[in-house]
Amino acid sequence: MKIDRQQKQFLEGMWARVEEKEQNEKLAKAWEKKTPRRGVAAFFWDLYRELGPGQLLAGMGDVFCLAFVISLLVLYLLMKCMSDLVASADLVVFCASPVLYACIFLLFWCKDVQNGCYGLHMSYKYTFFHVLAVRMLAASFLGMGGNGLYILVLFLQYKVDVIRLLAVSFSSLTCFSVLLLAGMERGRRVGWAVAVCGIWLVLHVTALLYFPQVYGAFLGWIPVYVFLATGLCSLWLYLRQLQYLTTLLFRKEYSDATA
Amino acid sequence: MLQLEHVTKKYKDFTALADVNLELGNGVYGLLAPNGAGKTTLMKLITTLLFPTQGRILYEGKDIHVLDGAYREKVGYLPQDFGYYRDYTPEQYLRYIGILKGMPREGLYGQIRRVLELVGMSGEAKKKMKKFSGGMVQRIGIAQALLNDPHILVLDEPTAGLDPGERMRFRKILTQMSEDRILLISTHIVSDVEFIANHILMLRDRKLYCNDTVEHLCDSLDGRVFEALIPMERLLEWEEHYQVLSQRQEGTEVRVRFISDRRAGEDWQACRPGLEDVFLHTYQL
Repeated sequence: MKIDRQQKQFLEGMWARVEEKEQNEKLAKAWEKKTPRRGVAAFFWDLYRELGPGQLLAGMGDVFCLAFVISLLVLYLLMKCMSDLVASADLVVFCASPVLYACIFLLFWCKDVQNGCYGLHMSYKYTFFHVLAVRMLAASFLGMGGNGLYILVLFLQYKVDVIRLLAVSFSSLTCFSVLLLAGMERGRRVGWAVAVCGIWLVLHVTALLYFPQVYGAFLGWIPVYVFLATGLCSLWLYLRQLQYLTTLLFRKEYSDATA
Repeated sequence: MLQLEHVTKKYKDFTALADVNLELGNGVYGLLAPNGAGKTTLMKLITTLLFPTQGRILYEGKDIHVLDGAYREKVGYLPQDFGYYRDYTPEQYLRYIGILKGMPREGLYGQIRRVLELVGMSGEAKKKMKKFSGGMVQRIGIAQALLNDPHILVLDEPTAGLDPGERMRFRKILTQMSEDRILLISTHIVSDVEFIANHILMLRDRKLYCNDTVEHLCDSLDGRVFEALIPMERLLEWEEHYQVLSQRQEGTEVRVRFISDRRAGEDWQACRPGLEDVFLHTYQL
């Protein structure tokens, strides 16, 4: 059967499209295979080892000062609101533990937006999201350190149950950070992260102020090992989500959503 | 070799760039287009800031998004709005950038000193960047793009804010670098690329309109660019008949440079077309 020139061109075009589609599918598979291999550990190691926390957080003194002041203010206000501090220490800790972390993270974000570094950082080997993930982890360590100091003060002042408070603080912080990351993934914008922070604080403060018995009883039911298990599970989820933050898939979706 | 194959970028219903096919080998490419033609989108696609809606971009035959960090290690990029940490000194800032670019700590200081020297900022290495003028900040932006000795250098409006001396120095740097690199420069200042670019890329209606040498482009207008001295009152009428490229007042008369398909006046002087003439003619500005 003879085919004319037009039919030949059509067939050639069709084969070219099929070939391109196959090529794209191959590339998509390669993306999927490639991205998980760029593990969170590798870039954390590279960035912390090469850059060091000093340089990574340099010029962020104002962020830390402001974050500490805000979290101290929140703790002070919550403590003032509670009549019996010793009995309600775990309620205050559960509510306020993530405040320092959230403040540091959001202020970092604001500063980066203000500096307009996003576009430029996305063109480097370690992108804006790598830096963001490393800073989020650093902020969570600082959050834990800050809560540890607060708990130490409570222990020295009131002889509270330190183990319980540390477990409460750890699980609260990690649960919150999972929610924060999930919020960011969902909305691809910091607005969602702010919303998560706000909802967390409002819900807990409302419970703390208006339903202290119910809230206290709720936390009281959960013994230390459950708190720790919750915290460890959240930590695992948090690290996985930090890793996801730097994958191609997330970057592609983010770039499409924010473009 | 960098290849763009049927690259299209859409933002919902809006097409920012349509079906761009392009091959970039070593050399300087000047990207010229009016605002909103898709220059920045093209640059963002090449630097992996954006993902193509259709098509793909290949570097040495491999998709740049598959290469991911390994590709970005070879890229130097200066965006239009260069963001930096104001509290850093250039030395601190470039060290930070060097590590984000995956450069080994060994030799990084040497490279920082080299690029600062290159952009004429070695004397300011320890001053805080918040005290710098726009031109100085732009030079730091150029330094960060050059820091990793990139094979692909993408510069979006690199000479914005630079004085004529700095622009000349910058052009010299680019000429020296262009031998074994792909340099893509987007600019509104045609003279910045006219004498250093091997190829000129023009975008029109969000498509790649032309990819040619400066000489060929200028040849396309050869014999159609003229200059004439006309009375001031005839200027409006002149503009209605011809595309006026430039005008300069000389006493009571005006010297106009314009495009005409044929020589219609004896006192018209034929001129050798320049890239700016081609640019203005292409976009009917």
